[in-house]
Amino acid sequence: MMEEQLLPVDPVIPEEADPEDPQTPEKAPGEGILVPQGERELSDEGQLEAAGFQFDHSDLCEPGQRPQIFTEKAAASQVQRSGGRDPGVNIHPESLPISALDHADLQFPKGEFATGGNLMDFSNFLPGKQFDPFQQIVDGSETTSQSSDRLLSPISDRMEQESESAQTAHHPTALTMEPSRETESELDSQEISQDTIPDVYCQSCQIPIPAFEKLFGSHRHHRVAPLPLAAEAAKLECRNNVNKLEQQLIQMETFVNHLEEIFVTVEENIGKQEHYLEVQYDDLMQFLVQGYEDRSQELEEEKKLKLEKLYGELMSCGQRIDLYKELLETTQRLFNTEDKQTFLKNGQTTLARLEEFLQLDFNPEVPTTTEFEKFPTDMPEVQRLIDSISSIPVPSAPLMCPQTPGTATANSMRVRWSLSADDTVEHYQLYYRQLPGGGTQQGEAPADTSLKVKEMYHTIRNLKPNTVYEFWVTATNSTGTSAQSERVKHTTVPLAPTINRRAVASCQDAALIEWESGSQNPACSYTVEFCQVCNGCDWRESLTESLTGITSCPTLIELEANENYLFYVRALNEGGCSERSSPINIRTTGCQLYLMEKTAHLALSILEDGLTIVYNEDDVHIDRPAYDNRFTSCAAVLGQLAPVQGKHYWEVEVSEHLEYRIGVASPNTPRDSYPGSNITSWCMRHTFTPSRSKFEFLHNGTSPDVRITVPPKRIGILLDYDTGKISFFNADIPQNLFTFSQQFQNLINPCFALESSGILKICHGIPIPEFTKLP
Amino acid sequence: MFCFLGTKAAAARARAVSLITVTKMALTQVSSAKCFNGYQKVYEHESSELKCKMRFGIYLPPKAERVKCPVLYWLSGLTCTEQNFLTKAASQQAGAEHGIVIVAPDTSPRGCNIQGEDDNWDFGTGAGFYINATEDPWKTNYRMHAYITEELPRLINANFSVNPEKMSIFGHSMGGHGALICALGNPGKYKSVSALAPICNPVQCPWGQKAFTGYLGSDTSKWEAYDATCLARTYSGPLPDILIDQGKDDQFLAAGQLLPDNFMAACTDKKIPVVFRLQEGYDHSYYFIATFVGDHIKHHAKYLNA
Repeated sequence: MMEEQLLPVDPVIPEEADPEDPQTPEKAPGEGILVPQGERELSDEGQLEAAGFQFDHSDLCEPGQRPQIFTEKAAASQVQRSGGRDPGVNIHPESLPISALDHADLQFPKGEFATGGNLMDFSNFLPGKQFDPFQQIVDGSETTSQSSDRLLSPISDRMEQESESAQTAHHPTALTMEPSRETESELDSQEISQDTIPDVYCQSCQIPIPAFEKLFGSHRHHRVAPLPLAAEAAKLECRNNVNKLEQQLIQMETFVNHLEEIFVTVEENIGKQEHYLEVQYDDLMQFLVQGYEDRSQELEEEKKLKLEKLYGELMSCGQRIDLYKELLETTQRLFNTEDKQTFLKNGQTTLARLEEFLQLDFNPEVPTTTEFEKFPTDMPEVQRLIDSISSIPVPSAPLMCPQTPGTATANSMRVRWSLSADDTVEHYQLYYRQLPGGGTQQGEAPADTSLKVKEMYHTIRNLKPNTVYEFWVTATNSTGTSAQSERVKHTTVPLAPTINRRAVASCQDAALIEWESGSQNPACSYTVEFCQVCNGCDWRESLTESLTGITSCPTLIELEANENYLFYVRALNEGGCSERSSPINIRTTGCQLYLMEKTAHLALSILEDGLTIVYNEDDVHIDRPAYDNRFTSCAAVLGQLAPVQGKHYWEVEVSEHLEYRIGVASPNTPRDSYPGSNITSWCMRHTFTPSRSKFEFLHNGTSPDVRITVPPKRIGILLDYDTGKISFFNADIPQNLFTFSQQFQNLINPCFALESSGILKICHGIPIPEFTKLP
Repeated sequence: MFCFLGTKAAAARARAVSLITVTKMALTQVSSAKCFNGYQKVYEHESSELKCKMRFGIYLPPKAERVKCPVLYWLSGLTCTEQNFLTKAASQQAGAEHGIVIVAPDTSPRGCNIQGEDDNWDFGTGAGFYINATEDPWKTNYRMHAYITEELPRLINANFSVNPEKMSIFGHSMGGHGALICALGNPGKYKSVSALAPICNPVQCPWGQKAFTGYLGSDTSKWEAYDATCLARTYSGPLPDILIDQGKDDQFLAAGQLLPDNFMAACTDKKIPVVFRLQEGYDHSYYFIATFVGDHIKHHAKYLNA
């Protein structure tokens, strides 16, 4: 097998092996190095890789032995090739040369080590590119082929030791390349001159030489390189090879592990098979023994019954014979009686008795048959049992795994089940159905859908979000189908909620957010995730905090002041949590409020920004939904602040001629009254006459007499729960216009009302200005 | 280079020290009492502007021991001395709270032996009207405007640990008038200004007409430089945030001596920001002042402590 696969490489070998040909042996011993002609040609082209590699082998054996081995090897490889077989490629190219060479010393059969030699040369001569793919293929089979070689070997013990030593020598060999070169260079320099020290490297001969050799000596026409450079190149090559070796070692180890796994698995599987076989034969034997016992007992009983009957018959026949005899004797005696009278007198009774006797119908019968009754053998059962020996048992019902977190999405779900270890299954049939009403309904209703699954898990798609499904499964093999598994409930996760962008309120240290559930069924709870955003940072990497188990919406989250946050909401149910909602950005700089549109008077419009209020006296939007919460008489609307005490500041932009009431009001302020006209509202009122602007600061219908010379266009409102004040400012100048002192027990809402047609714009998210500090 | 600068600075410092010593010599402490952890003191000094001995009250808040505090000048009304404000207005607590030095000078030169100076309660002694008189015999001594805006601040800055850059002014009645004309007549000099029941338009009211005629002569065009309403009409400069409190039951309001509406109209025209609060039930007394002085000091504190 392996050889066939590797055969395409074979044609390369004769070409490359040419230098090994015995025709050029005189050259090899002369130089003392394992450098054949082909190698030189390669290195002339600057192929230093091959050059670096060669020292390995020359270093492994004594110089004196080399020529001998060389020729032998070459001859052997020739033999090998002529044999049309090339086992050498199966052998590890790194570890075997050593053993091969050692084998040569031990005068092993040529074929054995020739394979190694062949490969060694092969690996030497081939440039890396050609060699690599081949080597990778071989990797996997290296150990096996090696061990098989070992088995083939005549003295396998020794071989084992040697190959072991070869493997351990693996690394040291590579590492000692450097010294090896030195020894060679010594050898060479000895050849050239005893006294000179080499200072350049002859690339043609691949030996260090003294510089003058280049100039005047035998290397005159050779290419030379500085010794350090050459050494560096050789070292690099050496390191690369070491790396290669290490990689191969790792691959090898991996493969061994793999083999071990397979070994264990095969062992287990065979063990299982044996167990089945035993069980099944036991069954059959038991059945047959049972049949034998039943049958033999029946026979025994039949025998007894029949013999008893026959015996009884025998007995009655004997009695009868006695009777015959006695009657015969009596009749005989009577016949012999001389006396006529006596004869007649006595003979009368005897004759009558005889007559009577003869008249009895004598019809002897055999009471039972001698034949056997037909005994029914349960052949089909026997047949079935015999058949089952070769087949596998029907699987038992699989076991559904309960839902694990993270396996469900809004419209898909991954279900898993397990199987008894002894069962063999061809496929599973997975059944599921949607459970209405949140999965509380019980019962064995039929499946909506079923599908065939090969694996022990399946991902079902196109499901409804936040919905409970019931799953069960059967296992089938060639013998039959198992019973149904238990039914398990899995829940798809809800869809991501949507944060209501027009219902976000925040202040310095908290934010109020509201969202809408994405799914129809209510989710169990929500998780709010948020992270701080800093300008210029990648906000996705910043730390995310999360608040879990939130059941109330809107919800208030405590934050740090003067930070920028991103908020996400996830919905949770039994199946897990939904995707994140799209984020919303909240700054805890100043306060952010939103208008409660459900409180707005029908004549008020709130523009798309959610902060601009438009009032048109002539245009009442009767088409809008009527909420009880709406202001009915005054064109007012309430705002929502973050529901915490502390300081809140917002501004309102108004035009000079606009008539308005702005301030604060309790959430339950009467909807039919004007802000400032009752005890639950405090507001600044502006009325405009052609002559002048009038400002009032109304609470409970009264205002102090305050006059303002510069009508504000931008009014700042500071609500300070701590000091119990509501202050109004002309934010442009800035000027404190008025301050209400009022300790608020409960939270209150901003209030905006328009008394003439126009536009009022709310500005929020403004840091609390300095000028508000001493109102 | 640095050595040279150093010696020069040292020399300058030496001169300054000698100057302070000289002026300090002129200040005589009349009284000192601890009040809200600070000190309420009264000093007497020889005024170069007024050519007479003048007294002023000064409240030094506890904060003044550590840092240079801003100064708030209080100008009292007709007939008052420096004592009225100190004893009746209860300003010290707010001064201590906000760390503001409050200086309360007298309302006119005293003991100048001018003919008829003590004849009227609304002219002469106790009725300086915070103007520089141009008519004989008043013009030598009755230079209250120069005294309040120049001499006194110089004296205070030289003798006390105060921030000369931060000063504000307020007053009551005639002092309210004084505060408004000092502020509107010297744009940018005062960080803020406020007034309690000020005489807003003296050229139009009996008090003002009497005083101005006496001090400035009959040429009414010269009066306008000391009239808050007139100054407002021609004002240009940084807009002061003016706070005015007025008792609704003030008999002088009803008598047409104060005329705040004229001032408000002028400020409305000129867009000078004024908050005018007509306080229900209050009259012209120091009870009214004591009620709202805290608001006013807080109003000034916003600008002085900014």
